[in-house]
Amino acid sequence: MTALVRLWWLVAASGLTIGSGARAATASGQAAATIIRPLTVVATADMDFGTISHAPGSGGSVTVTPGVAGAQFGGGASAGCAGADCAPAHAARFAVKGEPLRNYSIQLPTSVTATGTTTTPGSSAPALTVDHLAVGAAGGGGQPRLDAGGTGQFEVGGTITLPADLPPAHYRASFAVIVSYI
Amino acid sequence: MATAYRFVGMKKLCLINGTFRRLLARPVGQWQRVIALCAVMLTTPSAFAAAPASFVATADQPLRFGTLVTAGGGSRTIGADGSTSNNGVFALGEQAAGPAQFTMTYARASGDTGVYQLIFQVTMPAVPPVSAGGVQGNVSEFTTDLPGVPVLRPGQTAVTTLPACATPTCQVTFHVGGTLTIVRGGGGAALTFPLFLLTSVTAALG
Repeated sequence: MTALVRLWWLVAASGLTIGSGARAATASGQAAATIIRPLTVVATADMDFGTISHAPGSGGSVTVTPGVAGAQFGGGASAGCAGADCAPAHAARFAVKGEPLRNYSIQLPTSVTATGTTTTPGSSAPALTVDHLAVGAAGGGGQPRLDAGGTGQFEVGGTITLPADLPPAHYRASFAVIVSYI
Repeated sequence: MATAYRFVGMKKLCLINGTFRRLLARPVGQWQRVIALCAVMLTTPSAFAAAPASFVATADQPLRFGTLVTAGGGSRTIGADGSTSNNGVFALGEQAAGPAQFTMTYARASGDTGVYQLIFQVTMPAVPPVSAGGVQGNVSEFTTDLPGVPVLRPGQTAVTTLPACATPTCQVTFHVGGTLTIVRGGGGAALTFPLFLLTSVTAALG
């Protein structure tokens, strides 16, 4: 009877653990990440409308366009000088550096306010608005893209509107551009 | 073939409830032989099963940190639940980030109809750092959504339990998150880290 009890214990124990040898397996996964250079953007040339004159009693506008040399005049506005006496009008130019062959986007403000400093003592110059800001990436239209060396360029143009009877003044404005990978 | 048939018949003899009453009528010597044979058969089910139990672990998804922009370095953590947090890095949305997914599959021997509690062991070896293109990366601080295993330390073994395995194939699918730490000296790189998972079924309790 003692032997019987001992054997029963053996049967019961064997029922608790089935396939008692450990079965092992290895899974080969991976972790992955892509690290890219940050984008940097530097202004290499300011937006310049040049020297402008306008007819007494009439306003006008001046536009600089990305990729186009010089300025386009509207209304009573015209170039105030010509040739070597004048700095040529042009759009703002920016240089971009980052990860090669990556597309990026450019964000511009909708308008910029330019403040003036008159050249006539005792007079004041009203603020002017530069709007219709437009971007043109070097190399043509489409999505701005860094080249194989990780560099890119783009230009920003706009239109400045001149009210009638504007006193002689020198105008400046600053604006921010934001470039980001897409 | 005759032997195999006798084994299957003996297995039934061991497991069918009414068998004990028949056994009680036998002499003690015959009892001992029958029980000893039952014990041997129950402990070695593969001796007569057409398909033995098997265990497989698969890597279903990599641990994806995505595309990251960083100046000098930083870190990104992907939780086992898919949550993310960044420190000194900016993630681009072009690549989906997410935890790794693994599946452990235990297939019982054919004809085995019991309900078992499966005990698994999971070990992840240390992941070596990777350097490429002026970028050095390291993956650490692994987390999981395995019950009772919130953290998986490299080299240490974690134990988890599947309480009721009642189907021919029982699976445990779980996720592994981690933290990527980057030092960028310049340039950019695609970093890939091996992620091995050593798993085993240490017990099937019925």
